[in-house]
Amino acid sequence: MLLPENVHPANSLYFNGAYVLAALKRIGEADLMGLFIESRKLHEMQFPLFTLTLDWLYLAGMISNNTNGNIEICS
Amino acid sequence: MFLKSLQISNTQGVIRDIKFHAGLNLIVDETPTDAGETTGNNVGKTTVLILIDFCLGASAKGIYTDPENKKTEYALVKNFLVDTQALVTLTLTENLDDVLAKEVVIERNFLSRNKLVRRIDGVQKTEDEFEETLTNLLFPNHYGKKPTFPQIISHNIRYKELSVTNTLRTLNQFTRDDEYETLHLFLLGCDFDQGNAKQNILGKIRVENLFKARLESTQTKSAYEASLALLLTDIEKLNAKKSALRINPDFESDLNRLDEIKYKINFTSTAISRLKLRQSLVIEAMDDIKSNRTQIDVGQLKSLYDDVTGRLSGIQKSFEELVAFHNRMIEEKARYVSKELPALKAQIEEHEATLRKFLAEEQSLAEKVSKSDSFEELEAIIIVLNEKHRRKGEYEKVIQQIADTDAQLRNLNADLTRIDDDLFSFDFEAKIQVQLNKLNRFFSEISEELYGEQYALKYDIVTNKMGQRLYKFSSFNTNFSSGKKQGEITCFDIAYTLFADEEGIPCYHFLLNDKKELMHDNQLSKIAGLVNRESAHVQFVASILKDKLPADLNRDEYFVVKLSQTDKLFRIEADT
Repeated sequence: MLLPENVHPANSLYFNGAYVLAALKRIGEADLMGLFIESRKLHEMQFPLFTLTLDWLYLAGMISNNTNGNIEICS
Repeated sequence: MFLKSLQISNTQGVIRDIKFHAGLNLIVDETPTDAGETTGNNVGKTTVLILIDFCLGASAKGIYTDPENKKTEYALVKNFLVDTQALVTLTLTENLDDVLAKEVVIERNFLSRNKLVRRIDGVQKTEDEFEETLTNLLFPNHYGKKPTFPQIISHNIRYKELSVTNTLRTLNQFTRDDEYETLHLFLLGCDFDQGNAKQNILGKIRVENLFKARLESTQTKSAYEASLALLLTDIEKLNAKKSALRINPDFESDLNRLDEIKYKINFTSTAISRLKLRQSLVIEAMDDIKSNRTQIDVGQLKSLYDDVTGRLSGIQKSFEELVAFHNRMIEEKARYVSKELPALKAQIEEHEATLRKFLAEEQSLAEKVSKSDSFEELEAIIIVLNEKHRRKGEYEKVIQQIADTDAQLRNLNADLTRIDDDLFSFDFEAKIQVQLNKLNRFFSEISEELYGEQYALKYDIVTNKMGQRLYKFSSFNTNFSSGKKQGEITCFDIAYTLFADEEGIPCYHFLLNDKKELMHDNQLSKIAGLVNRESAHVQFVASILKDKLPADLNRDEYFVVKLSQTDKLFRIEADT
């Protein structure tokens, strides 16, 4: 699922994860919609792909939910 | 008053001491008749007359300037007079036969400033005092009135062109008829006590006329009045325009406020577009949710989990933790759908309301600013108005001055009319005729004796260019022939002196005449006889070329001074 062979790499979780991280790095912590809007400025993506990308980044230990319920980069 | 002596002296001593006597006095040249080239001209005969004139107040310039070209000076004569400190002394006496008679001694020199000598009876005088003293000696208390002293004695001293050729009009060519009128009335003893006042009024009328002409040099009074009326209309129009101006006193602040509003509109619009973007994304997300494509099920999460753990080692999250994270996100999404979208909508509406308010304000302000007239327009009108007011003042001043001048002229003319009413009254005219008849008795007798013709004076009342009435005196020959001018002049002068003495009118009794060689021998002899007979009244001094003298006059007893090429008046040439 990370880098499927039958899908264009631009639609892969791996590729989109980089943009979400870049957006999060720029704005620090953000709620779900805020991060989605910010990420969309960098790269066009559908909401389901976005949520799945977040799942992937969470699994990889790159992001987490903080106490406010916002998403932030794991240090 | 008779001439007693004329002395010319300088630092070297006395150069000439000319003694005059009663009756005929001749100033002659002594040119030897056998030498063909020598001449009796230019030896200084006329200069004797000029020196006497100088002592009686004339300018020194006549002595050393060429009458034809006033700028040419005889440097030799002038330098001699100045350098050797020449002094001219003229002695007048009441009676030549009485050594105790009252005398007047007049001294003048040609130096300037503190070396200047201008004395009467040994007392130094200023230029004005000199004329005043001379005037009052002959005519007590007459100084300052018209006619002036030089005018009165002008017929006694005849060497200038006009006085040699004219009987009555002996003054310079610029003299006006009204001045002659005053002079001739004075000479006739019809001393019209308002003659001086009349001269003053005529002088003032001339000044006022000149001033009026200058005032009206660009435009006449009526033109100024018309221009003023036009100006007043202009000013009225400008004032109406000025009051019609809609001046906005808050123009500046309104303009600033407009700028501020425009900025706020911009700012709000940006905020709205940002909010709308967010709203559209939320809506899009909602659409995704609605289309079930977001229904990522546990199976999908499982395959992700397997894929990741299969590719990467060291994954510390359990599958349950992943599911919990995923579910929190889904809840978050739901919260958005239910809460943020209405909030966004409300914010957008709020901003749009603000924007509408701002836009409305912008429009009203823009209208106000664009419609109001600025201060620049007001200033422009005020500048034009100021200029018009300035010109209005100028025109009013000129009109006022012209009106004043007109009023002044009316007053002066009224004064003049009053004087003229006396002057041209029947009584006064009769008086003139009586005096004239007395003078004419002498005049015709003398001319009869000299020429066998009868000359007389007459007067006419003439009107000059200004519409003013004047007495104009002239001489005429009762035979109405062309007459003999030279003879007429001499006859008049002698006749006048006899007339003045009979009437008790003060006068100088000496008659100075230049160029008497122009007269025929017979008349010269007769004049000699006449003045010697009337020597108590007339002293006749003439310069004449000796070779033109009739034999009976060529006698030393008549000569007061003899000049020649080798013995000129100042004896300068003898030294050179």
